Amino acid sequence: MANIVTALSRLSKTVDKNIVVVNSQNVCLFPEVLPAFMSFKALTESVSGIYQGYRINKIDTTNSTFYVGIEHSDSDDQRLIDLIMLNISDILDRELTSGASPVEYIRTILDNARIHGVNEAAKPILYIKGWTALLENNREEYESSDLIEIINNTINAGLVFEYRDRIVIIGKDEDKISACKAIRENILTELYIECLIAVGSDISNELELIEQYDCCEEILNQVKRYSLGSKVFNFEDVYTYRIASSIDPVIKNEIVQKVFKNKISEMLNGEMETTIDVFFKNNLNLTDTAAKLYIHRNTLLYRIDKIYKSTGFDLRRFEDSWLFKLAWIISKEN
Amino acid sequence: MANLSLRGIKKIYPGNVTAVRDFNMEIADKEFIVLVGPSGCGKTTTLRMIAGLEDISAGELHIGDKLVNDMPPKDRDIAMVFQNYALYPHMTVYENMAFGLKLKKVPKTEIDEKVRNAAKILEIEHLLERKPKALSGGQRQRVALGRAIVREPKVFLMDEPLSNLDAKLRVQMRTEISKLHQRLQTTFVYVTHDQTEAMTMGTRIVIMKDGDIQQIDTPQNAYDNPANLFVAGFIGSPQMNVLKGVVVENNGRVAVKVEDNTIINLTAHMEKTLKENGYIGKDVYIGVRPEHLQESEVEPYASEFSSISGNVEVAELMGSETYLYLKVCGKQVIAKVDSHTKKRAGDNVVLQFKWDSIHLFDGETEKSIV
Repeated sequence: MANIVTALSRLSKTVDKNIVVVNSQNVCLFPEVLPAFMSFKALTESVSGIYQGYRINKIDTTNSTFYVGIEHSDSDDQRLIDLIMLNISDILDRELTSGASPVEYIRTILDNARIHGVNEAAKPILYIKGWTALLENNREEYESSDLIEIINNTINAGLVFEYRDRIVIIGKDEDKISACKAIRENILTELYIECLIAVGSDISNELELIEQYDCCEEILNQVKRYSLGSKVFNFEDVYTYRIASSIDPVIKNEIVQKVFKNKISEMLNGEMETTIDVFFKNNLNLTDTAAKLYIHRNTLLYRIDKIYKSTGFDLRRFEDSWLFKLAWIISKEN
Repeated sequence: MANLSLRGIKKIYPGNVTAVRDFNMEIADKEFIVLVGPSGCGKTTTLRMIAGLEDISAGELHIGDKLVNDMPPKDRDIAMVFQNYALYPHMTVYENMAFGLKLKKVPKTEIDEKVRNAAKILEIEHLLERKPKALSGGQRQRVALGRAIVREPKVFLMDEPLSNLDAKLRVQMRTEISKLHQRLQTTFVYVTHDQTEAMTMGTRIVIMKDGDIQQIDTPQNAYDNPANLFVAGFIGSPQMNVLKGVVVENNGRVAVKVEDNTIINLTAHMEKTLKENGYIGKDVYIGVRPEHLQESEVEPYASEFSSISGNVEVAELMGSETYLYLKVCGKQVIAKVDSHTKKRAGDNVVLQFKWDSIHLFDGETEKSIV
């Protein structure tokens, strides 16, 4: 940012005109604070016109839009204005992304954030609207370019790129969960590889991307810690697991002992384990769970009763089920 | 040749959770094998091990003459169709089917030939230029099948491919997949929880429960001669009626006394088997299929028949037949009787059944005795 300020300041002095540069996220890049007599809204709505004595122009780059105000005078030579615009465009390209492509630029800032953390004074520069997701697969024999091609053809993708053995997705589809499920299904169908996709929230610039990348990484960690399988997860899906993982190990052990009384192995046969998982996923609803498991309601009741007899916990009672679920989660911790 | 050989296959997940215990099976070239069982029985895990999506904990898996345990899925010469599938929304049907081959860098002319051939087999040639959103559910399902067919695999693996379709379409696609198997003359391994799908599609079916194979047989044999009580209950709809009883000697004959003291006589062969195997005084389960129970007024009472009686709780007219639901010895019994029956809820009914329609299962092991 300091370089931009210096370069634009030098340009402003050379042409002897005041200059204002803001981006589409209402961040003033030059000068450091938007002049008091201006408002972002009015400035961005005055493209090709005059606003508060400034001629307003727009520069569109692949991932961002900038609004440039150049102090207006009736004697302005259009060629001078064009030259100033060309210079500003060049400065923004060179200084903001160091001449690199947006993907390379994002990789660099993600790297920097990993090493140095995010500078609190940092201003967002790129305009990257969409939601974030992080895709991880467990096979190494595939080219990431194949994965990227499948993703680009499956969803309305803004940016898709490889970063540290994972694929970062910035998508624009309205339903991000469905879009990520479609990605997973197409990768499975085409390449026969299972993917784990962590879905983050909406972003509009690179600083939010860093934040959501971290969030997605946390989702992936929790999914792996609790062996939740290769699916599509968002932050809400792993929230309980985050709580469980933060419990003191001694207390964790106490909870597991209290609930299972060393009878955990009885629960961990394929059928009973599936029943417990599906019952929790269906909000303790007997009808929905029985339908999902393709079993009769009475069969489900029999299994729940079996758990009650074995542990003393009746999964249909909220008081029993929440502690059972917590113990169930802890028992699966890797 | 696309025969499969599964020898002592096991799948144990972390935490010592056994999903598949000891799966042994030889699948011949061009067979249509259906793995069927309730949720959590290990059928999908078995299919995923064949595909290479799950590591095999123990045992050997051969496709053709190759041991493929450590071979990545892409090299196994298989094609998979899943329950959930997605098509590329901005591509035509042709492009959707061609995409996988394009990724594998197959020459364009070869792709074209394969896509058109698959479209012909699936009878979707007229849809090739359409986008997915302009297709019906059934047509989309065909495109999903087309994506598998163009790979010309040795083995097709299908994981509940019809589960997301409505009931009517499912019946239609069931026939289509059977026809597809006949046309392609390739080995199919198909997973379903639906016993009707298993019975109608498979040349052989594998019934699984809790990670164990319960029975491998032709659909007819599994229905006529269930290996145990679980198979007896799982295969057939409505399911087999089962009553618990004890083997007794009665007037010089071996019979089963059920809980309301009704004596059920058996065929000479059954009597001999029970006696020879020391079942006198032991618990057994007696099973009779609903279609073998008939109102005694409909068929004359004869010496090779036994009967049970009860109060009709519900009478369901199905069109071609009526289901009578009654309680016998505290258990629900279903009889599939003539649709013109006069019996209604609250009526008493006597149901007779031939001795040779009886199935007997061990009271402890639940295995078939006769």
